[in-house]
Amino acid sequence: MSERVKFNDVRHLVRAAVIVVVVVVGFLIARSLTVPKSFGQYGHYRGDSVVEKMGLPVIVQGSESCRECHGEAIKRKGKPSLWLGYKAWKEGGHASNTCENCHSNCKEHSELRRAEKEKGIKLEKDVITSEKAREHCFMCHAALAARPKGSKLYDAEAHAGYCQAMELKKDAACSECHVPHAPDTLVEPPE
Amino acid sequence: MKCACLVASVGALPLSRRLLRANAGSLKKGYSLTGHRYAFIVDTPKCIGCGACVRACKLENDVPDGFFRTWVERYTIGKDSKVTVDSPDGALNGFEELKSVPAAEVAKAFFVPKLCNHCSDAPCVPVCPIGATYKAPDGVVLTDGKYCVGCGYCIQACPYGARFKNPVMRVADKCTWCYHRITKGLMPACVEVCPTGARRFGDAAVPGSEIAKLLSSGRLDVLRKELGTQPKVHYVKLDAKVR
Repeated sequence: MSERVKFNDVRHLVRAAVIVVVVVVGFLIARSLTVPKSFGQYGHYRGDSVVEKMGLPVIVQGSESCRECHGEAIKRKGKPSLWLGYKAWKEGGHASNTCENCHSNCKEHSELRRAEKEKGIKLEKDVITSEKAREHCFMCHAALAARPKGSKLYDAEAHAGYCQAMELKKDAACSECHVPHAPDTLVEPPE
Repeated sequence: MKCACLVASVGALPLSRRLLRANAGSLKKGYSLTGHRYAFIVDTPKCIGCGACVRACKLENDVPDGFFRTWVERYTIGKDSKVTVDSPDGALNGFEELKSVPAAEVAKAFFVPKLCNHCSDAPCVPVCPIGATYKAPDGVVLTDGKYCVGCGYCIQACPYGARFKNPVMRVADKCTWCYHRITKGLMPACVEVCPTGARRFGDAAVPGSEIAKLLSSGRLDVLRKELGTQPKVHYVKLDAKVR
Protein backbone atom coordinates (compact mmCIF):
# COMPACT_ATOMS: atom_id res chain seq x y z
CA MET A 1 0.00 0.00 0.00
CA SER A 2 1.59 3.28 -1.00
CA GLU A 3 -0.96 5.55 0.70
CA ARG A 4 -0.20 6.67 4.23
CA VAL A 5 -2.96 5.65 6.60
CA LYS A 6 -4.18 8.58 8.71
CA PHE A 7 -4.71 8.14 12.43
CA ASN A 8 -7.77 10.08 13.52
CA ASP A 9 -8.30 8.36 16.82
CA VAL A 10 -5.13 8.61 18.94
CA ARG A 11 -6.77 8.46 22.38
CA HIS A 12 -5.35 5.00 23.08
CA LEU A 13 -1.84 6.30 22.35
CA VAL A 14 -2.34 9.27 24.63
CA ARG A 15 -3.45 6.96 27.44
CA ALA A 16 -0.35 4.82 27.00
CA ALA A 17 1.90 7.89 26.99
CA VAL A 18 0.31 9.26 30.17
CA ILE A 19 0.87 5.95 31.95
CA VAL A 20 4.51 5.89 30.90
CA VAL A 21 5.07 9.46 32.07
CA VAL A 22 3.35 8.80 35.41
CA VAL A 23 5.42 5.69 35.99
CA VAL A 24 8.68 7.41 35.07
CA VAL A 25 8.00 10.48 37.20
CA GLY A 26 6.81 8.31 40.08
CA PHE A 27 10.00 6.28 39.84
CA LEU A 28 12.15 9.41 39.88
CA ILE A 29 10.36 10.74 42.95
CA ALA A 30 10.65 7.42 44.78
CA ARG A 31 14.33 7.22 43.87
CA SER A 32 15.09 10.70 45.12
CA LEU A 33 13.42 9.86 48.42
CA THR A 34 15.01 6.48 49.04
CA VAL A 35 18.54 6.59 47.64
CA PRO A 36 20.97 8.18 50.12
CA LYS A 37 22.31 11.57 49.12
CA SER A 38 25.95 10.55 48.95
CA PHE A 39 25.31 7.49 46.82
CA GLY A 40 27.32 7.65 43.64
CA GLN A 41 29.79 10.20 44.97
CA TYR A 42 32.81 7.99 44.29
CA GLY A 43 31.12 4.99 42.71
CA HIS A 44 28.14 2.71 43.15
CA TYR A 45 28.07 3.07 46.94
CA ARG A 46 27.39 5.59 49.69
CA GLY A 47 30.17 8.16 49.75
CA ASP A 48 29.44 8.85 53.43
CA SER A 49 30.50 5.31 54.26
CA VAL A 50 34.12 6.10 53.40
CA VAL A 51 34.14 9.03 55.82
CA GLU A 52 32.42 6.96 58.52
CA LYS A 53 35.01 4.21 58.21
CA MET A 54 37.81 6.75 58.60
CA GLY A 55 36.29 8.18 61.74
CA LEU A 56 36.22 5.01 63.88
CA PRO A 57 38.16 5.24 67.16
CA VAL A 58 41.80 4.12 67.34
CA ILE A 59 42.26 1.77 70.29
CA VAL A 60 45.63 0.03 70.03
CA GLN A 61 48.08 2.88 70.40
CA GLY A 62 51.52 1.30 70.35
CA SER A 63 54.36 1.64 72.85
CA GLU A 64 55.20 5.29 72.23
CA SER A 65 51.90 6.35 73.79
CA CYS A 66 52.79 4.49 77.02
CA ARG A 67 56.18 6.14 77.15
CA GLU A 68 54.63 9.53 77.91
CA CYS A 69 53.74 8.43 81.45
CA HIS A 70 55.74 5.27 81.93
CA GLY A 71 59.10 5.94 80.31
CA GLU A 72 61.21 6.11 83.46
CA ALA A 73 62.44 3.14 85.47
CA ILE A 74 60.54 2.38 88.68
CA LYS A 75 62.44 2.29 91.96
CA ARG A 76 61.07 -0.19 94.42
CA LYS A 77 62.00 -0.79 98.03
CA GLY A 78 62.74 -4.41 98.80
CA LYS A 79 61.27 -6.14 95.74
CA PRO A 80 63.32 -6.09 92.55
CA SER A 81 61.96 -3.66 89.99
CA LEU A 82 60.59 -5.25 86.85
CA TRP A 83 60.36 -2.04 84.85
CA LEU A 84 63.89 -1.01 84.08
CA GLY A 85 62.85 1.94 81.95
CA TYR A 86 62.16 2.59 78.31
CA LYS A 87 65.80 2.41 77.24
CA ALA A 88 66.35 -1.02 78.79
CA TRP A 89 63.16 -2.30 77.15
CA LYS A 90 64.05 -0.88 73.74
CA GLU A 91 67.48 -2.49 73.82
CA GLY A 92 66.28 -5.79 75.24
CA GLY A 93 64.91 -8.91 73.58
CA HIS A 94 61.27 -7.85 73.95
CA ALA A 95 61.61 -4.55 72.09
CA SER A 96 59.50 -5.85 69.22
CA ASN A 97 56.71 -6.69 71.66
CA THR A 98 54.47 -3.69 72.18
CA CYS A 99 53.37 -2.80 75.73
CA GLU A 100 49.82 -3.67 74.78
CA ASN A 101 50.75 -7.28 74.06
CA CYS A 102 50.96 -7.93 77.79
CA HIS A 103 49.39 -4.91 79.43
CA SER A 104 46.03 -3.32 78.83
CA ASN A 105 45.64 -1.02 75.86
CA CYS A 106 46.04 2.74 76.06
CA LYS A 107 42.38 3.65 75.59
CA GLU A 108 41.08 1.31 78.32
CA HIS A 109 43.89 2.22 80.65
CA SER A 110 43.47 5.97 80.31
CA GLU A 111 39.72 5.61 80.86
CA LEU A 112 40.28 3.54 83.99
CA ARG A 113 42.83 6.02 85.26
CA ARG A 114 40.45 8.93 84.65
CA ALA A 115 37.69 7.05 86.52
CA GLU A 116 40.07 6.43 89.36
CA LYS A 117 41.02 10.09 89.63
CA GLU A 118 37.55 11.52 89.22
CA LYS A 119 35.39 8.99 90.98
CA GLY A 120 37.83 7.15 93.18
CA ILE A 121 37.22 3.84 91.41
CA LYS A 122 40.09 1.51 92.21
CA LEU A 123 42.32 0.88 89.23
CA GLU A 124 42.49 -2.81 88.45
CA LYS A 125 45.97 -4.08 88.13
CA ASP A 126 46.32 -4.35 84.38
CA VAL A 127 49.42 -6.40 84.20
CA ILE A 128 49.47 -10.13 83.67
CA THR A 129 48.96 -11.69 87.10
CA SER A 130 51.33 -14.35 88.40
CA GLU A 131 48.78 -17.12 87.87
CA LYS A 132 48.44 -16.27 84.21
CA ALA A 133 52.08 -15.36 83.58
CA ARG A 134 53.32 -18.77 82.53
CA GLU A 135 50.41 -19.33 80.20
CA HIS A 136 50.93 -15.90 78.67
CA CYS A 137 54.66 -16.26 78.09
CA PHE A 138 54.28 -19.70 76.58
CA MET A 139 51.93 -18.30 73.92
CA CYS A 140 55.10 -17.13 72.17
CA HIS A 141 57.77 -19.26 73.81
CA ALA A 142 56.38 -22.80 73.80
CA ALA A 143 58.41 -25.13 71.61
CA LEU A 144 55.80 -26.03 69.01
CA ALA A 145 56.70 -28.08 65.96
CA ALA A 146 55.56 -25.28 63.65
CA ARG A 147 57.75 -22.61 65.19
CA PRO A 148 61.05 -21.71 63.54
CA LYS A 149 63.86 -23.35 65.51
CA GLY A 150 66.32 -21.45 67.63
CA SER A 151 64.06 -18.59 68.62
CA LYS A 152 63.96 -18.78 72.41
CA LEU A 153 61.60 -21.73 72.55
CA TYR A 154 61.15 -23.75 75.70
CA ASP A 155 59.55 -27.02 76.44
CA ALA A 156 57.03 -26.46 79.26
CA GLU A 157 57.77 -29.74 81.00
CA ALA A 158 61.54 -29.34 80.87
CA HIS A 159 61.34 -25.79 82.14
CA ALA A 160 59.03 -26.80 84.98
CA GLY A 161 61.77 -29.15 86.13
CA TYR A 162 64.24 -26.28 86.02
CA CYS A 163 61.94 -24.08 88.13
CA GLN A 164 61.68 -26.85 90.70
CA ALA A 165 65.44 -27.14 90.80
CA MET A 166 65.53 -23.41 91.64
CA GLU A 167 63.15 -24.20 94.53
CA LEU A 168 60.19 -22.56 92.88
CA LYS A 169 56.77 -24.04 92.21
CA LYS A 170 56.41 -26.10 89.04
CA ASP A 171 54.09 -23.51 87.53
CA ALA A 172 55.84 -20.45 88.92
CA ALA A 173 55.45 -17.17 87.09
CA CYS A 174 58.28 -16.57 84.61
CA SER A 175 58.91 -13.17 86.21
CA GLU A 176 60.25 -14.95 89.32
CA CYS A 177 63.50 -15.37 87.41
CA HIS A 178 63.19 -13.35 84.21
CA VAL A 179 62.65 -9.62 83.93
CA PRO A 180 59.83 -9.46 81.36
CA HIS A 181 60.84 -6.05 80.06
CA ALA A 182 64.46 -7.00 79.44
CA PRO A 183 64.25 -10.80 79.29
CA ASP A 184 67.98 -11.40 79.08
CA THR A 185 68.30 -9.96 82.58
CA LEU A 186 67.64 -12.37 85.39
CA VAL A 187 66.02 -11.42 88.67
CA GLU A 188 67.34 -12.88 91.89
CA PRO A 189 64.74 -15.50 92.89
CA PRO A 190 63.10 -14.73 96.25
CA GLU A 191 64.79 -16.25 99.35
CA MET B 1 5.21 9.65 20.24
CA LYS B 2 6.16 6.21 21.59
CA CYS B 3 9.79 6.76 20.62
CA ALA B 4 9.80 10.07 22.45
CA CYS B 5 8.49 8.38 25.63
CA LEU B 6 11.09 5.65 25.35
CA VAL B 7 13.91 8.13 24.91
CA ALA B 8 12.63 10.22 27.83
CA SER B 9 12.46 7.29 30.24
CA VAL B 10 15.91 6.03 29.27
CA GLY B 11 17.42 9.47 29.54
CA ALA B 12 15.79 10.19 32.90
CA LEU B 13 17.84 7.65 34.84
CA PRO B 14 21.29 9.21 34.54
CA LEU B 15 19.68 12.62 34.96
CA SER B 16 18.16 11.62 38.28
CA ARG B 17 21.54 10.32 39.40
CA ARG B 18 23.11 13.68 38.73
CA LEU B 19 20.35 15.38 40.69
CA LEU B 20 20.95 13.10 43.69
CA ARG B 21 24.72 13.34 43.75
CA ALA B 22 25.79 15.82 46.38
CA ASN B 23 28.95 16.73 48.22
CA ALA B 24 28.44 14.33 51.05
CA GLY B 25 30.58 14.40 54.18
CA SER B 26 34.03 15.88 54.40
CA LEU B 27 37.28 13.97 54.13
CA LYS B 28 39.90 14.30 56.83
CA LYS B 29 42.05 17.23 55.87
CA GLY B 30 45.25 16.05 54.31
CA TYR B 31 44.11 12.59 53.27
CA SER B 32 43.77 12.12 49.56
CA LEU B 33 41.57 9.28 48.38
CA THR B 34 43.56 8.80 45.20
CA GLY B 35 47.20 8.12 44.56
CA HIS B 36 47.64 5.21 46.97
CA ARG B 37 48.90 1.72 46.27
CA TYR B 38 48.44 -0.06 49.58
CA ALA B 39 49.95 -3.52 49.97
CA PHE B 40 50.24 -6.04 52.76
CA ILE B 41 53.05 -8.56 53.06
CA VAL B 42 52.88 -11.68 55.21
CA ASP B 43 56.27 -13.18 55.95
CA THR B 44 55.17 -16.75 56.73
CA PRO B 45 58.53 -18.07 58.00
CA LYS B 46 58.53 -15.34 60.66
CA CYS B 47 55.10 -16.14 62.07
CA ILE B 48 55.27 -17.94 65.40
CA GLY B 49 51.53 -18.33 65.85
CA CYS B 50 51.37 -16.29 69.06
CA GLY B 51 47.97 -14.85 68.17
CA ALA B 52 48.80 -11.27 69.19
CA CYS B 53 47.43 -10.09 65.85
CA VAL B 54 44.08 -11.80 66.40
CA ARG B 55 43.75 -10.31 69.87
CA ALA B 56 44.70 -6.83 68.70
CA CYS B 57 42.21 -7.00 65.83
CA LYS B 58 39.40 -8.11 68.14
CA LEU B 59 40.16 -5.24 70.46
CA GLU B 60 40.57 -2.61 67.78
CA ASN B 61 37.52 -3.54 65.72
CA ASP B 62 35.16 -4.96 68.35
CA VAL B 63 34.92 -8.26 66.52
CA PRO B 64 32.26 -10.56 68.05
CA ASP B 65 33.27 -13.82 69.75
CA GLY B 66 33.73 -16.74 67.42
CA PHE B 67 34.22 -14.56 64.37
CA PHE B 68 37.45 -13.27 62.93
CA ARG B 69 38.61 -10.51 60.67
CA THR B 70 42.07 -12.05 60.72
CA TRP B 71 43.24 -15.45 61.91
CA VAL B 72 46.25 -17.75 61.81
CA GLU B 73 46.22 -21.30 60.44
CA ARG B 74 48.75 -23.98 61.28
CA TYR B 75 49.71 -26.48 58.59
CA THR B 76 51.28 -29.67 59.82
CA ILE B 77 52.54 -32.02 57.14
CA GLY B 78 53.30 -35.45 58.46
CA LYS B 79 55.93 -37.83 57.21
CA ASP B 80 53.07 -39.67 55.49
CA SER B 81 52.38 -36.48 53.47
CA LYS B 82 49.08 -36.00 55.24
CA VAL B 83 48.20 -32.33 55.76
CA THR B 84 46.50 -31.26 58.97
CA VAL B 85 45.19 -27.70 59.20
CA ASP B 86 44.07 -26.24 62.51
CA SER B 87 43.16 -22.82 63.79
CA PRO B 88 41.95 -23.09 67.42
CA ASP B 89 39.55 -20.21 67.94
CA GLY B 90 41.33 -18.43 65.10
CA ALA B 91 44.58 -18.58 67.14
CA LEU B 92 43.07 -16.06 69.55
CA ASN B 93 45.05 -17.68 72.38
CA GLY B 94 47.89 -18.98 70.29
CA PHE B 95 48.41 -22.66 69.66
CA GLU B 96 49.10 -25.72 71.73
CA GLU B 97 50.95 -28.82 70.67
CA LEU B 98 49.03 -30.72 68.03
CA LYS B 99 47.93 -33.95 69.67
CA SER B 100 46.95 -35.74 66.47
CA VAL B 101 50.43 -35.48 64.95
CA PRO B 102 53.25 -36.07 67.45
CA ALA B 103 56.41 -34.02 66.91
CA ALA B 104 58.34 -37.06 65.75
CA GLU B 105 55.88 -37.61 62.90
CA VAL B 106 56.08 -34.07 61.58
CA ALA B 107 57.90 -33.55 58.28
CA LYS B 108 57.27 -29.82 58.23
CA ALA B 109 54.90 -27.40 59.91
CA PHE B 110 54.31 -23.68 59.67
CA PHE B 111 51.83 -20.91 60.38
CA VAL B 112 49.91 -18.93 57.79
CA PRO B 113 48.24 -15.71 58.91
CA LYS B 114 45.23 -14.79 56.83
CA LEU B 115 43.02 -11.77 56.40
CA CYS B 116 41.02 -10.03 53.71
CA ASN B 117 43.14 -9.73 50.60
CA HIS B 118 41.52 -6.50 49.40
CA CYS B 119 41.64 -7.87 45.89
CA SER B 120 42.07 -5.43 43.02
CA ASP B 121 39.49 -7.48 41.14
CA ALA B 122 37.41 -8.46 44.15
CA PRO B 123 34.66 -11.03 43.46
CA CYS B 124 32.70 -9.79 46.48
CA VAL B 125 32.12 -6.30 45.07
CA PRO B 126 30.13 -6.92 41.86
CA VAL B 127 27.84 -9.50 43.49
CA CYS B 128 26.38 -7.04 45.97
CA PRO B 129 22.84 -6.33 44.77
CA ILE B 130 22.67 -2.87 46.28
CA GLY B 131 26.18 -1.43 46.37
CA ALA B 132 26.89 -1.99 50.08
CA THR B 133 30.38 -3.28 49.49
CA TYR B 134 32.84 -1.43 47.36
CA LYS B 135 36.41 -0.75 46.48
CA ALA B 136 37.21 2.74 47.76
CA PRO B 137 39.20 5.04 45.46
CA ASP B 138 42.36 4.21 47.42
CA GLY B 139 41.97 0.48 46.69
CA VAL B 140 40.70 -0.70 50.08
CA VAL B 141 37.63 -2.94 49.90
CA LEU B 142 35.08 -1.90 52.50
CA THR B 143 31.60 -2.91 53.60
CA ASP B 144 28.96 -0.31 54.33
CA GLY B 145 27.38 -1.73 57.48
CA LYS B 146 24.63 0.87 57.45
CA TYR B 147 23.51 0.08 53.92
CA CYS B 148 23.99 -3.71 53.90
CA VAL B 149 20.80 -5.77 54.15
CA GLY B 150 22.57 -8.98 55.10
CA CYS B 151 21.77 -11.09 52.03
CA GLY B 152 25.13 -12.84 52.40
CA TYR B 153 25.95 -13.00 48.71
CA CYS B 154 29.34 -11.36 49.22
CA ILE B 155 30.15 -13.82 52.00
CA GLN B 156 29.54 -16.67 49.57
CA ALA B 157 31.46 -14.95 46.80
CA CYS B 158 34.72 -14.49 48.74
CA PRO B 159 37.01 -17.41 47.87
CA TYR B 160 39.23 -16.77 50.91
CA GLY B 161 36.62 -17.05 53.63
CA ALA B 162 37.47 -13.56 54.79
CA ARG B 163 33.89 -12.41 55.22
CA PHE B 164 31.35 -13.29 57.86
CA LYS B 165 27.91 -12.23 58.98
CA ASN B 166 28.28 -10.08 62.05
CA PRO B 167 25.79 -11.58 64.56
CA VAL B 168 25.39 -8.29 66.43
CA MET B 169 24.89 -5.91 63.50
CA ARG B 170 23.45 -8.64 61.23
CA VAL B 171 25.36 -7.37 58.24
CA ALA B 172 28.38 -8.57 56.27
CA ASP B 173 31.68 -7.77 57.92
CA LYS B 174 35.38 -8.28 57.24
CA CYS B 175 38.85 -6.93 57.70
CA THR B 176 39.14 -3.28 56.65
CA TRP B 177 42.92 -3.07 56.93
CA CYS B 178 42.01 -0.83 59.88
CA TYR B 179 40.94 1.88 57.48
CA HIS B 180 40.50 4.31 60.37
CA ARG B 181 44.18 3.82 61.21
CA ILE B 182 45.84 3.71 57.79
CA THR B 183 44.13 6.92 56.70
CA LYS B 184 45.86 8.58 59.65
CA GLY B 185 49.26 7.17 58.74
CA LEU B 186 49.17 4.41 61.36
CA MET B 187 49.64 0.71 60.77
CA PRO B 188 46.72 -1.71 61.01
CA ALA B 189 46.42 -3.08 64.56
CA CYS B 190 47.64 -6.56 63.60
CA VAL B 191 50.78 -5.12 61.98
CA GLU B 192 51.41 -2.86 64.98
CA VAL B 193 51.50 -5.71 67.50
CA CYS B 194 53.21 -8.48 65.57
CA PRO B 195 56.40 -9.19 67.54
CA THR B 196 58.32 -10.85 64.72
CA GLY B 197 57.51 -8.59 61.79
CA ALA B 198 55.57 -11.31 60.00
CA ARG B 199 52.97 -8.75 58.99
CA ARG B 200 53.89 -5.62 57.10
CA PHE B 201 51.82 -2.93 55.54
CA GLY B 202 52.51 0.20 53.56
CA ASP B 203 51.77 2.43 50.62
CA ALA B 204 53.85 1.42 47.62
CA ALA B 205 53.04 4.75 45.97
CA VAL B 206 55.21 6.54 48.54
CA PRO B 207 58.67 6.72 46.95
CA GLY B 208 61.31 4.82 48.89
CA SER B 209 58.79 3.15 51.18
CA GLU B 210 59.79 -0.10 52.80
CA ILE B 211 56.82 -1.89 51.32
CA ALA B 212 57.75 -0.79 47.79
CA LYS B 213 61.22 -2.25 48.28
CA LEU B 214 59.83 -5.51 49.64
CA LEU B 215 57.37 -5.79 46.77
CA SER B 216 60.01 -5.30 44.12
CA SER B 217 62.70 -7.50 45.63
CA GLY B 218 60.83 -10.24 47.49
CA ARG B 219 59.87 -13.71 46.30
CA LEU B 220 56.15 -13.27 46.70
CA ASP B 221 53.06 -15.25 45.96
CA VAL B 222 49.35 -14.81 46.57
CA LEU B 223 46.57 -17.11 47.70
CA ARG B 224 44.51 -18.81 44.96
CA LYS B 225 46.26 -17.00 42.17
CA GLU B 226 44.35 -19.03 39.56
CA LEU B 227 41.14 -17.21 40.43
CA GLY B 228 42.47 -13.95 39.06
CA THR B 229 41.28 -11.84 41.99
CA GLN B 230 44.61 -9.97 42.13
CA PRO B 231 44.98 -9.92 45.90
CA LYS B 232 46.94 -7.10 47.51
CA VAL B 233 48.17 -9.37 50.32
CA HIS B 234 51.43 -11.01 49.28
CA TYR B 235 52.99 -14.02 50.99
CA VAL B 236 56.69 -14.65 51.35
CA LYS B 237 57.56 -18.34 50.93
CA LEU B 238 53.98 -19.48 50.57
CA ASP B 239 53.93 -23.27 50.63
CA ALA B 240 52.10 -25.08 47.82
CA LYS B 241 50.05 -26.99 50.38
CA VAL B 242 48.34 -23.82 51.63
CA ARG B 243 44.77 -23.60 50.47
